[in-house]
Amino acid sequence: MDSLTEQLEQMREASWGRWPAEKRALVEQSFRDIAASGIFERTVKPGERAPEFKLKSADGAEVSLSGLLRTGPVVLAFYRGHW
Amino acid sequence: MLEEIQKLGANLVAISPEVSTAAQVTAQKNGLTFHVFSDIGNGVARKFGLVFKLPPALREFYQSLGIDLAAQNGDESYELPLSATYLIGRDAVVRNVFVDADYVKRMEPADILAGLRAIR
Repeated sequence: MDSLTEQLEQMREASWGRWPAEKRALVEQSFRDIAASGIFERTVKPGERAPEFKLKSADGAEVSLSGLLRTGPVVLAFYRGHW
Repeated sequence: MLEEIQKLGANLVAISPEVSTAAQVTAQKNGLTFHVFSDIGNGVARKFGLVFKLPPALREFYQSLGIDLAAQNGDESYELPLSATYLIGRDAVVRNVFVDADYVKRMEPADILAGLRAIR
């Protein structure tokens, strides 16, 4: 089976392939601008303590990081959304 | 993948700034059982240092595609989290991190599982 990266790249081509070349270039430039902004130096790093947080799930349940960690390690995935 | 994460005793938590209806759609569409959270205003992403602002030229481009970010995210900040995956041990110490400026990219499932096995 293809790796997730390969699957995602196929999805990228399906979506970006419909865009004009200059719009595609705009998006690619934005990735370089983000990298150049210094944001990666400010992100939480391995070996550091994860900041505590509380959130409500879509079904209204409240969860905290410390609460989740009581039952096991946590895989925390941030994404921009479904678009 | 989710099953393997749970077998290793870990919790998978997905976070996006979209308001709950959108997050709920994502969860139900895929028949998922993990927690999907709306981080409205990117408060949690900010704590992890992941927030950036979408530049005006890109706002206009996405708008032209019919994507209404202000409605989807419930504010007009046009702030977004970087694509990121954190593996956090039970002691709250961060063990593995994937962060990328490219919103398409993700930590490979094999790397997530390997990281979790190392934590145990």
